[in-house]
Amino acid sequence: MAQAETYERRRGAMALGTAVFIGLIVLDTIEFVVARFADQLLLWMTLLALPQAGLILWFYMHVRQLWREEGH
Amino acid sequence: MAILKGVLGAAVGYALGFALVAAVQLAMGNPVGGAAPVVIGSVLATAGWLLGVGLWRAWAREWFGLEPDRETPTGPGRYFRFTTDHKVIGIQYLVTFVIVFGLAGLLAMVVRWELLTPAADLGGDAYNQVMSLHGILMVAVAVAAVLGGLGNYCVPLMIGARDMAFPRLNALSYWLVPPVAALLLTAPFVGGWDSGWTAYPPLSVVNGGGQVLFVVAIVIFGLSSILGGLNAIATILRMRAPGMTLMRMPIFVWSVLAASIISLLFTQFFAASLILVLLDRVAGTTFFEAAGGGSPLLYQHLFWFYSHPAVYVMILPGFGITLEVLAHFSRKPLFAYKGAVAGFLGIVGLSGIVWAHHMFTSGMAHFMNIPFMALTELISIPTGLVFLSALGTIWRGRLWLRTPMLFALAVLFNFAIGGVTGIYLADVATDLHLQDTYFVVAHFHYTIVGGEIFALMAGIYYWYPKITGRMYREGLGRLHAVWMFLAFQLVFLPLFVAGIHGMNRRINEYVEPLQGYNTFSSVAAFALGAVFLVALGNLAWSWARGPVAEANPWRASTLEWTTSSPPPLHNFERTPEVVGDPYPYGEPGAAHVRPVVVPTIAGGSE
Amino acid sequence: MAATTEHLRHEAESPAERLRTNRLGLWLFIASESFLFAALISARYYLLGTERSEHLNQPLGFLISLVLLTSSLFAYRAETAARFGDQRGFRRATATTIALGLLFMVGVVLEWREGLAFFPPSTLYGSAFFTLVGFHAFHVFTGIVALALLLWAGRDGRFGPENHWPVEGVIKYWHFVDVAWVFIFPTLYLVK
Ligand SMILES: [Cu+2]
Repeated sequence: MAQAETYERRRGAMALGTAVFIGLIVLDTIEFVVARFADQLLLWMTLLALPQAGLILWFYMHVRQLWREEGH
Repeated sequence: MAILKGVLGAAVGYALGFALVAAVQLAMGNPVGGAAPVVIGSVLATAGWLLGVGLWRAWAREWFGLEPDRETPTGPGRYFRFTTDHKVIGIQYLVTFVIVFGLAGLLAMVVRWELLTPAADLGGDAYNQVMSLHGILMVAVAVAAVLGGLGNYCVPLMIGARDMAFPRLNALSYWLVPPVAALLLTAPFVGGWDSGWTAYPPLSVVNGGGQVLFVVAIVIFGLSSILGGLNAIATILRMRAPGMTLMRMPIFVWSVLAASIISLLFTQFFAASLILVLLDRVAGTTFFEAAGGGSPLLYQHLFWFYSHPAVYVMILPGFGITLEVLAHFSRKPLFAYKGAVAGFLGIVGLSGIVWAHHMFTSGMAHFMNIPFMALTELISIPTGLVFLSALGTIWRGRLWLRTPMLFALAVLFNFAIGGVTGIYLADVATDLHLQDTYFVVAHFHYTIVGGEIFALMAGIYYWYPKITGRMYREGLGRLHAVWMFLAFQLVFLPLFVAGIHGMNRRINEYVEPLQGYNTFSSVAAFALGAVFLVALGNLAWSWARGPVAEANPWRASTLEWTTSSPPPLHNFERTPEVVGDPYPYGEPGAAHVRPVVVPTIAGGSE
Repeated sequence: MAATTEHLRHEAESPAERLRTNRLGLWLFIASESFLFAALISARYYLLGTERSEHLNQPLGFLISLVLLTSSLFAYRAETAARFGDQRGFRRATATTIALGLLFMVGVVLEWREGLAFFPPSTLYGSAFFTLVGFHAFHVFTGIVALALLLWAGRDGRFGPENHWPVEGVIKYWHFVDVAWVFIFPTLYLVK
């Protein structure tokens, strides 16, 4: 029972990692494509870089552990 | 022994780094030599020094999955080893920086000797090098003596902790300092450097080879400062005793927290600006070379983005000590405690957005003048809060005029002059006239020497019985305070006037009509220098032979006085429990810490 | 940070408390490091505005960005595996992270060879480019060394649910290096 639960939690964590990764790749690709065709790039690039940094900080680096006790 | 191993490690590191770069240079068909091998050699020498002196034994073994040596050395030998006890490290910092202070003070005597008469005695080159070395050594003292010395020793005691949050990192921060000193003191023998402590390009990109060692030294010192700040913040946020809420912390702890935030974050800009200087010299980049499209002004922006906040790294802990001493020696609760805390944090917040007030005359775009003037003058609001707290505390207090208190009162007087003269420099119109004159020199010395160094003295005398377990000679202490106060005024007041009359700084010759101010100031400076012989004699002699100090000779309320003098290895026999505000004087029934049995005579439990 | 009622433990700090202190220390270090990158990035904009070299190999830059992002995924998997006590998974994912880090370094070397020909460090753009990429590559290098040490020290299976701070610390640092690149990549390759 406990073992099955652990297994589930681990699978969930791994799936989350993959989902975040897909998000990162998509954003990075959009950034690259936009840079080739758009103007006002500084604004666009900032708008596209910030969510990438946010995804990594939030999901990969667990920044909320800083203010919450157990936030694995 | 550990130091011997460190020196050996440094030698091996230097040889390794030098050989490595030389090999690359040979492989690329370039001539061997230049600054690159020296730079890499110095960096690896520092690494080798650290590993030899104890980093490997006590810490780095762990990174390779080996068991580190966790033993805590005892006996007098521990002061020469990689030790994790914050009290030992605090004393290591204090003694080291007292020595550096003495050296830099001697250089100041040389400067004043050269300026005794309008004619050149030393020669311009030598003068510039002396002035530069004096500047950077004193800046190092100002940054590290209070934070690294008294901060390290007292903060864990004052918050009821057993040690810092990261004891081994603490040791690392200290042992990074000797290489800095070695590099700075080697620099004069390899060409020296003459660009002052500010190291502005273009001069710093083209001058003597000593500039390279300066850059490496300051980057290493920056690392030490960053790691020290990190440790202090983590300690204060995480290691407080039960009941020690943030608003119950002694005010000195708050000031260390505020200063540490600045050194943690802003120091990186100093490191970055100097590394770019190094790259311009060594790697052929063109950041600061106008011919290649670069901009010397970029350096000034990066440099002052750190170096303005750096003056708060120096002065905030000085304010902290001052308020601490004023409260205990006025026998009153600190007036407007929350206001003082808000003042500290306000200064931290504003410190990052005022840097360009150093650049009104340097060719920066004119539209930036007014905003930076206004922002700079805003700083007088939080500083005023701190001052209000100080004045309110002594107002109608029963002032107990012992040595620490005399120094603390001197800080108020000096910093008032330093602060008011700062307004003329922050104001664009007057700054155009005063920039780069002795007015700036006098203003800066009034804030940092008159503020921080006087506060450092207050702190040293105040905590001396706690640190050494012995009492200094009160008469000599008071003599020190009065003499230093008077001599200090006589040195720097005339320099304001000389500056207004157009006396430039960083020159070794000047025009005849300015001689009066300078001769007067120089003679006073020699008297100011002499007072430190008295102080050193008193403090050194008392450490060995003075009467044994009680645990709490000042009958003060904060936690460090509830344990023996000096405190045992783990600071407190039992975990203290904090129940109220830090300065409960004159409030019936109020207490900072739950009553514990205070030993009247030092336990000497070490 | 602490609520006014929160009393911090003092004697014989518990492992959970130590973990929180370690985390805070690492985050402070990361905050400090981000000021370093901020200094270098602002130097680039101060000197050049959004101007950039015409000879940049944008696709190569994009490719190594993807490599670095992928390495972050494997770093995350390594940490998760260690937290659940899966030694094999931890070792495999860590090794993959190291391999991707090395691949990134190869990419950097390739673009430096191109860059040296078109915009050497003696040009303004070259100064900004080589310094920023160089600083970042140095961080990647230290990250690779740390991951390798982790793999070496953990060969006896010492890292698990009870002892995973070393893993967590190194991998947080690795993610941070990735975050820095998220800003450096558009700064050097994309803005115009
Ligand atoms: Cu300033």
